[in-house]
Amino acid sequence: MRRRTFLSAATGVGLSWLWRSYGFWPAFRPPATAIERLAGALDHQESAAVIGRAYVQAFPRETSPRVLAALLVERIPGGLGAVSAGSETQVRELLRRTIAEDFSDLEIVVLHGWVFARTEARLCALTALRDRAA
Amino acid sequence: MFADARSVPRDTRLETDVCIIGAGPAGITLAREFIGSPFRVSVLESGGLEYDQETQELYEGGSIGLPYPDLSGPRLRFFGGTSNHWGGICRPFDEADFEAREGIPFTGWPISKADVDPFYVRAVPIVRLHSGDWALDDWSPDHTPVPLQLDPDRIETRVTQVVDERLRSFGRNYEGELRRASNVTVYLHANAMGIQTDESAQTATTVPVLTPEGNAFQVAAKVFVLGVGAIENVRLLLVSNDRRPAGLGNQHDLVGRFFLEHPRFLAATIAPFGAAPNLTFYDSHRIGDATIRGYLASSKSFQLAEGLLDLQLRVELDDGEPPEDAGDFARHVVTLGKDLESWQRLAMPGTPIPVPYLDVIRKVLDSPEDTYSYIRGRVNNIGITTRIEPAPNPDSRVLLVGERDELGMRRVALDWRLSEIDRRNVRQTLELFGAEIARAGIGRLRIVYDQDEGESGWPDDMGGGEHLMGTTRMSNDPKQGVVDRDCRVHGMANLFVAGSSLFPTAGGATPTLMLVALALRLADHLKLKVLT
Repeated sequence: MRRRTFLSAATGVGLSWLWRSYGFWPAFRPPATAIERLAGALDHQESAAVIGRAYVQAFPRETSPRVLAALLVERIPGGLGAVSAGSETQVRELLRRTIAEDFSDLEIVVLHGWVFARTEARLCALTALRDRAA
Repeated sequence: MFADARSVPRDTRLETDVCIIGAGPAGITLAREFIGSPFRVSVLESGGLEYDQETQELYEGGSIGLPYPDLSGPRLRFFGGTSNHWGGICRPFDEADFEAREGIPFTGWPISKADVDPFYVRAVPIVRLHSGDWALDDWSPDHTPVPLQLDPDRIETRVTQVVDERLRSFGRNYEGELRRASNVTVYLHANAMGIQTDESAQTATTVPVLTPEGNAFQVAAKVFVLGVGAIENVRLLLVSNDRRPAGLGNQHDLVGRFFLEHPRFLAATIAPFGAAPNLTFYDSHRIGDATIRGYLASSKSFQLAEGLLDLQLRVELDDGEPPEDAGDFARHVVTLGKDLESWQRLAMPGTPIPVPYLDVIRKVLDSPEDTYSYIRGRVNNIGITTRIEPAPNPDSRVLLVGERDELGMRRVALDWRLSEIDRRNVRQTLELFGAEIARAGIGRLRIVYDQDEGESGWPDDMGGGEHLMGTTRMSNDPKQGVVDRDCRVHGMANLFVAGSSLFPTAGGATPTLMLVALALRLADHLKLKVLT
């Protein structure tokens, strides 16, 4: 197989895997600062991490902080710009609204029987993965 | 009048216009409607005026499907029938309860709510309720306590009225009236042993009666009505096989099928965030002369959109410690909730609403009973118990077995079954409820249903609501039901059925008010169209 053909096939397989894994191609790669802001949004980090680990176990395809952050940012009004430029209070308010919308849209996950908004569960997962990385 | 069947001369043939088998809520309601009419009515009641163990044992039967207590448990076999231990909770069926549901086979009644509404109005004083008002607004806005502020398009609060305990027994309520009725005779200790027909097997002619002591006689009538409940109605039809080997009304093998209950079990718990919500509205409480109890349920629009039936969520208040099995994870969920609650407070100061202590003080001044109830509403843990409207299932059935009772009649067994639709209903409704109470800032729901699945695929603690229904279901199509819209057994000219065995679907409401309304409707039909 020629190198170009091989690279093309490998990229196709990779894209296909990502598509299957996440249901979509993440639109962008959030910078580390945005990931850090989201992961630090919750005050009770220990509790968030416990819930986050349960989420990652239930959804093993979402084990990358970048992917989780991309999925989170996609649902937040204003997207990356709002997360990057907003104050801590503003980011929390955006997250609160997104979580409320998740509950309205039945965008939920059930972990150990508990019903969570997808956004808050991902937020917890991001916290857990950051802890693990640290 | 009352008569003791043990004193009727042996082999007598009593002649009457209407023979009603059973003196429970349906039979008594029907009989009362004939008081003062030109028609003679005989009511056959197996028991006496009080509970008797030997008579009660005639009800015993086994369970071969989902675990179910002995068949004598939910029923009582003496004058007044099962109303003698009735919980008294009433609510009419909603319009949607009568309609066929897309994707759920065998749903839909051959009558509409409009057909039943006039009879609901008449049924209200008969069951000894104070009001025919059922809308939430009729009972809530100007009163405390108040219902939870949830989105009614998702989870709605419904109102039930609770009959005072001393007024629940139809036997006690109406014994005097029936004693004074000159054209109605209630025969006590009179066990109907089947229904005999003419040679065509299309007209019922007589009911053979047997007393525990062995006295036997017959009752001949123009019209017969079975009103002995969803299990005994089946038993009587199936043992009446002299001319129809499969039993009366059973030409399509439907008698006894489609048995319905309202399964219930602890399905979830709520961990409140911040101040516990006041749940007093969901406990029995007085408003004026009436006793009210609210419950939560999936909205009809959600049910229709998702292809589900009704599901009630009963709030069980528990002011104890969190359940032991909740473990550390629960602690972390509640801790996480503090974050979200603080965010909510920043965005919307004052929410969720804390319980104002001034209100408690005011309640103390009002009434100690209210105070207790009010304070009970402030709880640490809240249990959510389901009451499921099951999908009609032909494999869920009552059937005859070989064993016979003391009188020589074959006993029955119950093969109670549920379906995947019911499982989906529980799962989806709980997820909706969990999302809704979180959205409203009340707390977080922990679904315990999946974790508690027993060998049967349902929780080990699952029971019924003691609402036995559906076994002689109503349909205009003889291939889909045992009786027609007028409660007449298909293929029979003068044999009718009363009671909750008529229900094609179980609805979300309790059955008693409905079965009384249907008995009134049947009485009108018999008086105006059959007997005249």
